[in-house]
Amino acid sequence: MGTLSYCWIILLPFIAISGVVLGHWLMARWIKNRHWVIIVVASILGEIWVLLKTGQSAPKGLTLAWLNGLSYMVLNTVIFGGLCYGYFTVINLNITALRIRLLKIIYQSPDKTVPETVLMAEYHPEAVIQMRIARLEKMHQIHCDTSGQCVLKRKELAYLVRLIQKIRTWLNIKPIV
Amino acid sequence: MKALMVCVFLSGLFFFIHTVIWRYQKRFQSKKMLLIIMMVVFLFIGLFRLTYLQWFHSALAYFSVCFSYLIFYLWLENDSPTLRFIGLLSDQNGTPMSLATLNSQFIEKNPIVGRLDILVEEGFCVYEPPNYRLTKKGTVVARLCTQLSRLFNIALEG
Repeated sequence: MGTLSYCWIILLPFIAISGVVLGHWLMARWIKNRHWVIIVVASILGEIWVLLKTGQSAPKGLTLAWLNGLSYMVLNTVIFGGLCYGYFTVINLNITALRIRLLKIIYQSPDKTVPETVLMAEYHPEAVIQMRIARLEKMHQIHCDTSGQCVLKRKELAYLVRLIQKIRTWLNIKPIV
Repeated sequence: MKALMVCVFLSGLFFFIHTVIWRYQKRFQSKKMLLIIMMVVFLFIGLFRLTYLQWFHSALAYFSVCFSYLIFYLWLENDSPTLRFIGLLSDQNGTPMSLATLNSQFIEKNPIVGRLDILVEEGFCVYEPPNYRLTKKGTVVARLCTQLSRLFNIALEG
C-alpha cells in the first residue's frame, strides 16, 4: 500500500471531526439548545463518511485485502469515536457542569473574586434540582406533575446509572458527592 | 491488520493493569496514575515491528481509547446530580417521588461545596476567606469556556 494512500486513511477521522465541528457551529445558529442532537446526528453522518472513504481507499487485489480494509475501518472508527466523544464532552461540560458554571460566575466578576456567600446564594441546591428537572423533562426522561410528584419516563439514563454503579463497585471507586 | 492487533493488545493491557491496581491497591487510585499506566503501556509498542505509519495509526487509536476512558472515568469519580437524581427515581420502581424528598437529598449534601473544594484542590481557584479567587489556570479555562459558549450559542443549564 502506498504511503500517500495510508496517510489519507489516517487523516480521514480528523477531516470528519472538522466537519462535525463546522456542522455543529452552523446548525447551532438555527436550532437553539439542541446541541446534543446536532452533535450526535453530525457524528453519525461523519462516521458513515469515514467508513465509506476508508473502504474506498484501502488497497484492493491483495490476499486478504478485505481483512486489511476492515482493520483500517475499525481503527478509524475508534479514532473518530474518540474525537467525537471528546468534543461532545467539552460541549456537554459547558452546558451542564457545576464546576464550569462556578468558574464562569467568578470569571464574570470584575476582579475575578466572588464571596463564598454569593456563590452559595446564587446557586442553591434547590436551583440545581430545578434546572436538572427542567432539562430532564425537556429530554422526556422524567415527568413531574403539578403536585410535584416525579416519575421516570424512560429507562436509558437509569441503565447508564446502573452500569456506572456496577463499574464503580468492580473498580472500588467511591464517588465524590 | 497488524496496527489493529497492536492497538487491541495495548488497550487490553492498559485495562488489565488499571483494573488490578484499582481493585487491589486502592491508595494508587488517581487520574495521574491512569495517565502513568497509559504512558508505560504505550512503551510496549516497541515490541512490535511496524512501519512508521502503522505505528502512528496504532498510537492514535490507542490514545483515543485511553482518553475516551479517562473522560468516562471522570463520570465514575464524580457523582453528577442529574445521574443521582435519575438513580433515586429509578430505585422507586415507578412509584412517584415528591420534589420535596428529592430536594432534601441534595440539601443534606450541598453539591456546590464539594465542587468548590475540587476547584481549589485542582488549582483553578483559591479560597481567601471569605472569597474565592480565580488562579491563572482557572482564568484560562473560564475564558475558554465562555468563548466556546458564545461561539456555539450555549446556554448554561447546569
